[in-house]
Amino acid sequence: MAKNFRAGQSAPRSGVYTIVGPHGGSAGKEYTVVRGKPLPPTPKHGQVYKKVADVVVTKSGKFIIAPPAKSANTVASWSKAFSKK
Amino acid sequence: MTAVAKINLYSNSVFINCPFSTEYRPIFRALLFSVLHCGFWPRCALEISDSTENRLSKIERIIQECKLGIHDISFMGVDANTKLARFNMAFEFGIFFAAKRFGSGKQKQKTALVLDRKAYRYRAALSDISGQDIAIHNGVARDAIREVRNWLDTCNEKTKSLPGGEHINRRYREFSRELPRASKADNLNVGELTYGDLCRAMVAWLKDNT
Repeated sequence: MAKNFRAGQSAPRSGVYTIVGPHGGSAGKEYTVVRGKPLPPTPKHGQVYKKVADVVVTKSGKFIIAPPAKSANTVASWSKAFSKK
Repeated sequence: MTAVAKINLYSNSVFINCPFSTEYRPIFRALLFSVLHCGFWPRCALEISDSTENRLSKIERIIQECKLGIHDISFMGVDANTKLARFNMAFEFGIFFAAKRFGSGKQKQKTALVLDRKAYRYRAALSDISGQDIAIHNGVARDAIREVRNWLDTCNEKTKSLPGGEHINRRYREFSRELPRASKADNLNVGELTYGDLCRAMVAWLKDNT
């Protein structure tokens, strides 16, 4: 089950975070948040955030939503592999 | 860079409905790269290998979560081994259209790009969509990239235009040239990369080269 995060809490990973109500229903608002930055305030009391996708930040500052990953080869290991000359 | 930005995941998600055969692989990879390069989120049935969820439920869920859909109907021929036609693409295309037609709320906003290998060929095989514009890729990755980019640009909710098709195509060739070496460095065979491997490789390359 996806973990909940409170408004103001630092994003543990860069990702797309969606606001959900106390019963888990989506409030329809989503934000991309860079790792370590605080999650924005929620419109209503009791609402929390859930991470729905990983985001990678490019050198020029663009966001790329990373497709779901479950195998051992992460984006970081590919990045290392491409940089080997 | 803005550390926190509003996003609409539904509007940025692209359902890719195409053959997963070896023969089609160059076009499939080009489509994926193009979608990622344009800043959208590619989704397809290959993304989850959860045996507890049946294939159709998985496809329905992904379609429900995507505003955009790319449907490549170019593999309309008869399978050489079974001597039968494959209906998966047309079926999933139908589900996507039905979601738009009979769904409610944001499902009504769905937009699709239909791709084929040759112009007007679909009129003989899928005449129900004769009144609609479809895009042609001629079985060539470069043309597929251009068509996907041009279509995504019309769906783009940002104020800036997307990078041009020729630019994305050049970048895709660069990525493809570097992929075998990077795969080897990651102890993988480039011919056996899974959908997940490939997406992560593309994201990693774009992260360091954009």
